[in-house]
Amino acid sequence: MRRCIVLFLLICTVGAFTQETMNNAAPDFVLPDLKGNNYKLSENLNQGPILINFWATWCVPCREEMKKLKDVYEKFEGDGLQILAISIDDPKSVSRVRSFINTRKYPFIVLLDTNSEVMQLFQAENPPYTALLNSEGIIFYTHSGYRKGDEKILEDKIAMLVQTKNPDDKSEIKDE
Amino acid sequence: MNRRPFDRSGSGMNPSKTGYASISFIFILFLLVVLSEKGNSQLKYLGNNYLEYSVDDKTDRRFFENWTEFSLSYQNWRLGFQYEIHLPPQPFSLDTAGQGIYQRYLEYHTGDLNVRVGNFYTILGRGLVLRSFEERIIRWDTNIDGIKFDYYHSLFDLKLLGGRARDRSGVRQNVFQAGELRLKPVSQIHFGGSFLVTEFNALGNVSWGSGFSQINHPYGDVYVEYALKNFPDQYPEGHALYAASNLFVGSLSLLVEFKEYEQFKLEEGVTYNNPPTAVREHLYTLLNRIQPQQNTNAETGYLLQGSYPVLENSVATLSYSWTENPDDLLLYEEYYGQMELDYPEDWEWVWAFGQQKDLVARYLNFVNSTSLNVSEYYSLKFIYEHQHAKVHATNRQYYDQVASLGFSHAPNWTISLLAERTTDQISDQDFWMGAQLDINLFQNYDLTIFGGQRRKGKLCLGGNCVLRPEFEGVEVILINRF
Repeated sequence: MRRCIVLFLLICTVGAFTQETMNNAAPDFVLPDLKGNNYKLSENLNQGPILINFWATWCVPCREEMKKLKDVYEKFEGDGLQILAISIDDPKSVSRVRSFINTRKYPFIVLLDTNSEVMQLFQAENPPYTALLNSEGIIFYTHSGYRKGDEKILEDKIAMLVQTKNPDDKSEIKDE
Repeated sequence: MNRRPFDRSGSGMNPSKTGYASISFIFILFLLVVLSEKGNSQLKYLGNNYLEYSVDDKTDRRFFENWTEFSLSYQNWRLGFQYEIHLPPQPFSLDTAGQGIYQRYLEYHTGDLNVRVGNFYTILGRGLVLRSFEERIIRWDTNIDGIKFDYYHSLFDLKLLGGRARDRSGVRQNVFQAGELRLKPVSQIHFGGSFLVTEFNALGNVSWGSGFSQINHPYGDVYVEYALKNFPDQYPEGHALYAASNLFVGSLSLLVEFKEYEQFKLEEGVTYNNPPTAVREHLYTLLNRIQPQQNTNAETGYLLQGSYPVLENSVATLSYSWTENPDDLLLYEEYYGQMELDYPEDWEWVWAFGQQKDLVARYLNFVNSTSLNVSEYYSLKFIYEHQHAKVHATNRQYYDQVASLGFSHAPNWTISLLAERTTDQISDQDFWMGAQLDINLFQNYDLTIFGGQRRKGKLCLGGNCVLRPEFEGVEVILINRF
């Protein structure tokens, strides 16, 4: 067993050497929104950065993060930021998603991934999981879990994307 | 019933062969990574690794489990596989010890068409007819090995599939065919149906199906699904009805869910369906421990919930749920109230009260959760849960308390102290304590180290429950994405 552990720790080191490969195209997907209409990622590119957030109504850190994402959205809405809040609530709790969103007035595009199939395409293990894409759909930044202050790092990353898109904009970008 | 042809044969595997298999697998993995890095830029890969290792001092046992998922994309094609190690699996898992490639698939996707050959998960409707899923935390995996075809159109969605589902011990059941057609004549109204046809060894040919409709409106929505089964005449008839409706009046949100399941546990080895439970899923340990095990053969009930932002930066939620069997025996009842408040700036509060009643006891709960931003990137979180139990049969009373204190620095680490106490005289132990460190590294790594004791208890997700045994020792979970 010891040999297996060593071998799989080796696998884990792959991640350290391939961090540059974050620049992969995000997998395309089709998911229903809260009204039952299909949303296809590839048909919504080239408008600005896209922030994909996998969450669930039963996930405490997800709920904390969504409050902060609302502020992030209001800050970058004018730069074409889309926030896709992809709920992985299963059939048991999916009926509660719309109620949750309505009460809190979240302005995000809410999609339903009731069997976590799209979350698996993103190789995410647990919610919350965030993937920031540039306007062409290339993965620029990913993060799992939520701690207070994560949203500030996210804001910096979005600002970098916006800055790249609008190089004439000399607004300050914080260092990480 | 057949064992999977491409996975481990069980605990009798030759250790030297498994070692070579691991080395070969890593070699292939590296080769694919290098090819995609250095070769054709259209060749892309995604992968992740989930490693769980624990040493239980109480039983003097070690558990090592690992899941490596890897997918390689080229234009419209995607090739993926999952390599797993269970040496041995956790005691609450029904898997046998072993390792190998447990899942593999080839997928073609273009425009609105998606075809996958190999392993996949899926759901039809709200799961009354079919739900294949993985909940790793409770070691529940019912993936299907077969073919799946999805077609999306502005006026309809079509899903057709066939294959063999896996039961929790890894055995593949008989071949089945299933499908779903969802018509969308206007965006506000959807309706359709789903079916599944298979053969049960004990019954012969069987089938079941459902019809559903969904109406969406800015002021609310309604979803109704009704399912029937077609079994040989000598077996009892069964049906399943699930309905859910939201109503929005300004910021007030009201939710009603109704369920009626009678003789609708569709299983032979694997349970094919997993309908909604219409029971609130809780955010806190003690409340969640009293979750009912779903019984789709004999269950009727409903859930009512209302939520409203009573103050600025606050949300109040009230809910009531009730489940009984056809003989009017109350299986589960719950009253619940919760208040979330963000005040003053940098503080977040959650207070919750709940009364749960099941066949064993009545439980009164109180929860307080307080979060404080100490500075821009540092925060503190304290959660206290109290539960008073009164056992129906004996009137025995006791209480449980759970507390946790966490200190975090975004985005890198959290350190937490966890404690639980009980006055239950039946319990061998009355105090459990542990510490946990969570670290994020290089964007790609999530490392969790737990040391200490954890109380045994029921762990439920989506109406599926396992009994997680008591634990004392060290547990390491390492997740990385590449």
